[in-house]
Amino acid sequence: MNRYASRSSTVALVSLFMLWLSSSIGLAEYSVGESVEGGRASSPLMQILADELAYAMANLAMPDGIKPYYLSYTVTAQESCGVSCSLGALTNDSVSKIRVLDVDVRVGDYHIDSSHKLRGGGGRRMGSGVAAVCLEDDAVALKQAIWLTTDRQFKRAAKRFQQVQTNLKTQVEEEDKSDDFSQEKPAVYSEPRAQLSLDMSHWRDCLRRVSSLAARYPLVYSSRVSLTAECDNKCMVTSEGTRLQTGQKFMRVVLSAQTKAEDGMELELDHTFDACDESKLPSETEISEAFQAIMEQLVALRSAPIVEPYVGPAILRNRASGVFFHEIFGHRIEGHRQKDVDEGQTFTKKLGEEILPRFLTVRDDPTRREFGDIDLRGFYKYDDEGVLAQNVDLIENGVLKAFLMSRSPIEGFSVSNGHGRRLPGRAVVSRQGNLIVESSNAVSSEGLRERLLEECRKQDKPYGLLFEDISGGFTTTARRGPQAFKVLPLVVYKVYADGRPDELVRGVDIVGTPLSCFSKIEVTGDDPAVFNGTCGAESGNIPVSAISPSILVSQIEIEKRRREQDKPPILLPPIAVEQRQESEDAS
Amino acid sequence: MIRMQTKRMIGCTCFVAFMWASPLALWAEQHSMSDGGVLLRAMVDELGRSMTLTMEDLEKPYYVQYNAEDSVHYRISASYGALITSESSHDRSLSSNTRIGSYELDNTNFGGGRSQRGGFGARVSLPIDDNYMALRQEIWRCSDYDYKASVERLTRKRAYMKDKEIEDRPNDFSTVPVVESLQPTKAFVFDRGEWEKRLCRISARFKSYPRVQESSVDLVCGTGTSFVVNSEGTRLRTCNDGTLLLITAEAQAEDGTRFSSYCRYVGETVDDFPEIPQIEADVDAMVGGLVARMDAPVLEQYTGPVLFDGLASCQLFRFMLSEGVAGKVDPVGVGRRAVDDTEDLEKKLGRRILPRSFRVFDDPAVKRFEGQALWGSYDYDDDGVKAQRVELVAEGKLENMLMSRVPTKKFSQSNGHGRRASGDRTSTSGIACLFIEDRDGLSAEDLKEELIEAAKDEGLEYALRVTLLRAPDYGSTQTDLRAYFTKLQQGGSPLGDPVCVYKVYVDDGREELVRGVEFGSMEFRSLKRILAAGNTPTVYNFIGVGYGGTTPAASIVAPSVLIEELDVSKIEQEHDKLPILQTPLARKSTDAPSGT
Repeated sequence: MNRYASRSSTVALVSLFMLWLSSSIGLAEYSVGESVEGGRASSPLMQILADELAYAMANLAMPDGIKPYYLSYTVTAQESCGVSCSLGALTNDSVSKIRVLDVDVRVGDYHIDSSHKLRGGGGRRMGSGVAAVCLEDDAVALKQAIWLTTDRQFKRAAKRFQQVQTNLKTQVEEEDKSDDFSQEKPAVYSEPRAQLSLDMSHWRDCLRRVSSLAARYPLVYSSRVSLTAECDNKCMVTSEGTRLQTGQKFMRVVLSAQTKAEDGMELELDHTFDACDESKLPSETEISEAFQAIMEQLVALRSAPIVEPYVGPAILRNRASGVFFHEIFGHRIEGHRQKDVDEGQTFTKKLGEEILPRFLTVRDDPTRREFGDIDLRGFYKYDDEGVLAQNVDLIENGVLKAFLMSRSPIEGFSVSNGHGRRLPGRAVVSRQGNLIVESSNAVSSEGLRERLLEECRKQDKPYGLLFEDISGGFTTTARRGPQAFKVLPLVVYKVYADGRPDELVRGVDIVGTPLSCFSKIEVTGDDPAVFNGTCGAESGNIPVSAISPSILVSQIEIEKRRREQDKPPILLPPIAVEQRQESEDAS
Repeated sequence: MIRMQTKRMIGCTCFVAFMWASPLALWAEQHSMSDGGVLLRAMVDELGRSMTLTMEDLEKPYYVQYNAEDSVHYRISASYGALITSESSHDRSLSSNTRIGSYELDNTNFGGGRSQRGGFGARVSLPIDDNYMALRQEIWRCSDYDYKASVERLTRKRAYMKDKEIEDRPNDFSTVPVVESLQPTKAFVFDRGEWEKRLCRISARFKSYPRVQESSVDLVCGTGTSFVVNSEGTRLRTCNDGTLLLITAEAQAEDGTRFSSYCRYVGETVDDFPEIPQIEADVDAMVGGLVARMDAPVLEQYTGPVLFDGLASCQLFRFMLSEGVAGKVDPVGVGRRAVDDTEDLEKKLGRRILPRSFRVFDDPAVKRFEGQALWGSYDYDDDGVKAQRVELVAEGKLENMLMSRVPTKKFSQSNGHGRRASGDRTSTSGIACLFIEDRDGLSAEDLKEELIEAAKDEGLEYALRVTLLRAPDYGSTQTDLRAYFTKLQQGGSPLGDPVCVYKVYVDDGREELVRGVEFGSMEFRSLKRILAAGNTPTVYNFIGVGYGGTTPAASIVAPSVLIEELDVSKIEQEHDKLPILQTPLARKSTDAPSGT
């Protein structure tokens, strides 16, 4: 994951899970719509969807008699607004509403259906059929869109099912003969419609004020303060009888600052506040303080020395460690990867085996709304296949117990545990929600530091590293690529064994392979903290969280970061010119 | 994928930032009313500093130009009586063009070697508040980047030229008079709520047409303020309103062939549009035409005279002539290639390219033609050069080319035709408002008579009259764009397929609609053998869509023309089957939901 959005792997082979800061790239967000009457299970929208679904199930058939055995309609009303400011000026101010229809059709039966993986190349995963539909519940307009999208999607599914049948005959026997689609109990649930209520004029002024603080830091070449608020109301009906109406809000304040060191290295720091309710958004004072803190740190980082490639002990602070587990562990226990022969399948055959140190227990619990008073972005009630979200104990005392499951069964796991997720338009795969790492071998922060120094002395290293903050990371899970990961630290300190004060350094990435890395976790801190981010993978960008204590790793490998070669700006920044002018005028 | 329409935008800046609801919209309007004084001052002040850019012993720029665009626009879309989107946005962007070296030889016109930073120029989005310091900060970053890239490019170009035998080249850049003109800005008045209702009403019309599978009604309107400042002293601010109402319908014939049709209204503001009942009547006529085309017989093969009537004639000139009359120069370091006449006509200067009675000129200053707004018109081009009328073809002979500030071998001066598409970093020469006239133009009846005579002459039973071609335009349906570009990639001619084709029988002049045909290749020289032309010109406004984005808004005003001979043949292609279920519009309420 990364803090914010991610690259998705179009190629089946290299699934990159990259995290990056959306605010840093002048986000052009697309967003969000609305408008479902009330919250009753029989909202007009749901009624229309249910009627059309029944009609299609009863009448849809190819000339050769092929019919769908499963059909689902989901309408996601997305409503969003965003405000960004830089140096006291508004750079973006947007509000958007959109309603998207997803149509999922399956042909065949629960055992073998049109979603079955086509081996030997040539088979792309089948996404859903998508259409932008009207903002109001207009029956004629909706039905027209549903009719066409269903027709297209059904024909695609029927065609793909034929390919699947041929593919099964031409390819060797499959290792995992699990069903293609699990049998689940239909879910009927409805909650009131979520609605954003933000005083945007207040936020505009607030962000203008906060962003103008950057004028005090002429060495910060570019900075941004933004608020994005998003509200998703989903209505889902399936041919199995599921009727769901759910609403959720996501809000975040993102602060970012960029500069360039004298040697050309681009540096960027950011800070995020996440909230799932307006009342939990930070105050102007909190935002200002955090913004100034990152700018001060960025300026310090600008003149920090570059660290040389190194292998040795390190502490990953809690939030950094959360990203580490998300990338290195979380993506590898996603159910669909255990079945896909193109995947690395690091853990597929390791069920019941110890894959992490015994003192670690890991679960993924999307039912959890908050940690302390921090809202968790990975919270949801029902997944995108309409299955109730469930806590899954993945690792108990170091031993692998389960995988994250969507409705695509794998050997030993025939049902979903509510982790099928996607962005509208994509095919659902199993994904993380709130990944939670717990430790029974935890020491205080000072204790952890002491252990780091001990490790240094033991390994005869002059210093260890402390990874304070991390921007994100990515990993390859595909078989064709190396089973490796890379984590991109933002703030790193050298902690000297001889008692010198810690030294801020820059220019390093952590690299490694998952299995060897896990075995080197020695002890953890007692300081669990949340990293809220956006994870990108096959099924698109989705909100996730990772909670972890700090960890001490006896050996970590770092490599030099790629460095841009052009020099910092030639002329003084305008803000510096102005300030110099002012001080000259004053004297 | 959310359909492509969600990304359609009129000729405005490209950074998408959506806004919503009237309070915000109102705010946007007020903003557009600011005179841009702060932005202009920030541009001028940073420009002054950018002229001093240098590092180590590297040269300073000899010329810097900034173009900024401030646009406020609305986009509303409806289908079957319901609103799909209603958005407004306010964007600002700036591009920087830094030239290092001299007018004779600088960092541009170079395609050799690999540049990590793409082409010439840099672009950045700007704050939308009139905040002097915040604006300057962004401009400063953009210029810094542009300077560094430009200075490297110049070095590579010089090294390349030292290494290769290069024939005499024209200068890289020309001088033009300095322009100072600050047009007053005006508020854009638009009743969004009212137009949301109107669009719903228009789109509801399609409820009575079950044979139409998909339909949409889109309105894009807004106002744009453009700024040009350069180191020679030009200071320019121009303001333009633009609006487009587009109604599209798609359907499938019984054999699966996909058809689409559209009604398009173009104007400065929504006041240029007809009344709603008229638009509704146009929709009815459009669907009538669409259905007629779907049910029309397929034409197998035809060789003979073709009358390009109305819009089809303008489209013909767009494909065959509009590119070629723009003066261009091959960049250094790009291997010479054979250039088709439709792409570059400079070598044909002084030669006849059209019948003797034809003349062609481009006049950007014409704002309207017979009451219709011309999209291509402007007072100053995108490099701040005053628009000039250019006589391109007289007595059928090519005499001139449309020029930007980049000289060609034969023309060293700009004539105010430097055009820049929305989102582009630099400008190139191109048409604005291209007028084609035939002093011997005939009435519609006489022209049809000529067509019939020509067919008789060939011993044909019938001739063809074409009224519309498929063209890759802003607003084209995805089906049409896909069809056009697929064909182009397969080596087809740029001349789009004929969409509306009629057989005109020689015996009694009766007409019969046919479908499913494409043109064989058309040579540029066929234009010389235009047999006759009409005397009532048609206006065609368009923004072209290409692989790399859009082309600048342009207009072509031309009479119908009769081409002596063209091959027309049936398109061989497989089609998708019709939808399995009946459209909801035609379903009886009794066969609604049931479990049976």
